[in-house]
Amino acid sequence: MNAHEDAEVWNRWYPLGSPTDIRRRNATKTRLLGHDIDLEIHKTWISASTGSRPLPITERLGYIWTSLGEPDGPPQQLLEYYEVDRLVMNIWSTPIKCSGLRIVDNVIDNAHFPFLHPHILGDEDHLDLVPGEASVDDEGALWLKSQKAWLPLTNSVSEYTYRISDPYSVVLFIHRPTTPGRYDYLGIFAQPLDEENFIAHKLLAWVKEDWMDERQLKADQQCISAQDKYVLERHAHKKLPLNDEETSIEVDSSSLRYREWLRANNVNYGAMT
Amino acid sequence: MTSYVVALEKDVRPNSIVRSMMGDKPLVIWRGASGAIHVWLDRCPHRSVRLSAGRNMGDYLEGVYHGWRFDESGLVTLVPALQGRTVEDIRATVYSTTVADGFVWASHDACTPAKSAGEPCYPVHIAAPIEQVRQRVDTSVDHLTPWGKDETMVYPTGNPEQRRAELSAIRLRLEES
Repeated sequence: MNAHEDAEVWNRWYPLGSPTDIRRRNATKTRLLGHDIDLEIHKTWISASTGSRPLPITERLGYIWTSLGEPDGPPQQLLEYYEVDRLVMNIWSTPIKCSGLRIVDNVIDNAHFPFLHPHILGDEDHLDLVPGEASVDDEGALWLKSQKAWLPLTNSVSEYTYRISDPYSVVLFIHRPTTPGRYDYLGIFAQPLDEENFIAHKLLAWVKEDWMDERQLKADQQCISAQDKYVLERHAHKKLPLNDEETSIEVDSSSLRYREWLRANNVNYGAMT
Repeated sequence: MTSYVVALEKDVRPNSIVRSMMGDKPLVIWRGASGAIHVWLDRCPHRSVRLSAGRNMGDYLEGVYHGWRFDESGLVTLVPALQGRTVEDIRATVYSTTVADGFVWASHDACTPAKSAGEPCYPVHIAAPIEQVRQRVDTSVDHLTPWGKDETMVYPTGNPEQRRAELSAIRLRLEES
């Protein structure tokens, strides 16, 4: 379908990458929602256009954002990203061959940890999953709060909260047991190239700890994302089914809630309806 | 109903998984501990990830994404995340399968293999629709299987070197035209 026909998707902000990466690669072209985007790198800013139409550009959370439509307000915010005691970085910006909606569905699913990320995010001896609460806030964002799953890296149960304020993105709040009320953040922002291809921009914003080694942290997160990419590119249906094409069970409540939220918001681009 | 060759029997070894196509249907082919060969739609009913990305554990096929177990009949027997709680009746899409003359045959309905003229040879892929390929080959010697919408897999019989040379020539003519 033409993305223009899907107002919920068209009138949103999307990241085009980190300005550092765009400058380093001297990137002049990218794609968004089936449209070619021309990038122009200036001394102190980067501009974007499609055809001869200039596009709005803003920088936030370490990424350049643009929109093909008329978004209602600025891109989503995460004020904690700017806290001085945080280590922040773009983990990677990698093309993945399936709908960008698929990666949100993947991130909010804790049941795959023991199998796809064994001994990193889960293991087969600890299969307990505690479902959290789902709610939609006044801004229309879907929250999946306080989901619990075993985390081999810390040898304890970890607590996760997910915020989905755009169909194509999710921010993961990792609860910090030592400092309740503070979180470590991972943001996964999809840049939908078309309905069946996207670039995954992955953001990390963690409170700095003595043990942290920036390069190692990046490598570890890239390893986890590479494992997800392997499965994401092996979906027989590249688009995310919002119909009964896939069978769900009781532990898929987050996935079902996300799909229900997409249906309620009339999101069709990148979905099977 | 039409039955198609989807693999050579000798290629479907224990503890391994073979991928194939039957028309527009991607297939996962595996040999279970019982020795029987199974041909299924290559799609997990849960999140539609290819079953061929998983593992053949002999008694069951294990999905790569969530570790779901499918027994040799295609029935889901274990969902690890449910921790022993009952799984509802969920099944892989299973095709009717027969092994004959060294070929693995499959069909959407009752599988009725055709006769083979000799020993099976390795298949030759031709980027042309099955109707065009059928006009160029002897279908009493070669079995044809549609591969996607516009391509064909030829499963020949006879002398391997001679047949490969013949089919390569046909392939060149068809693909160049």
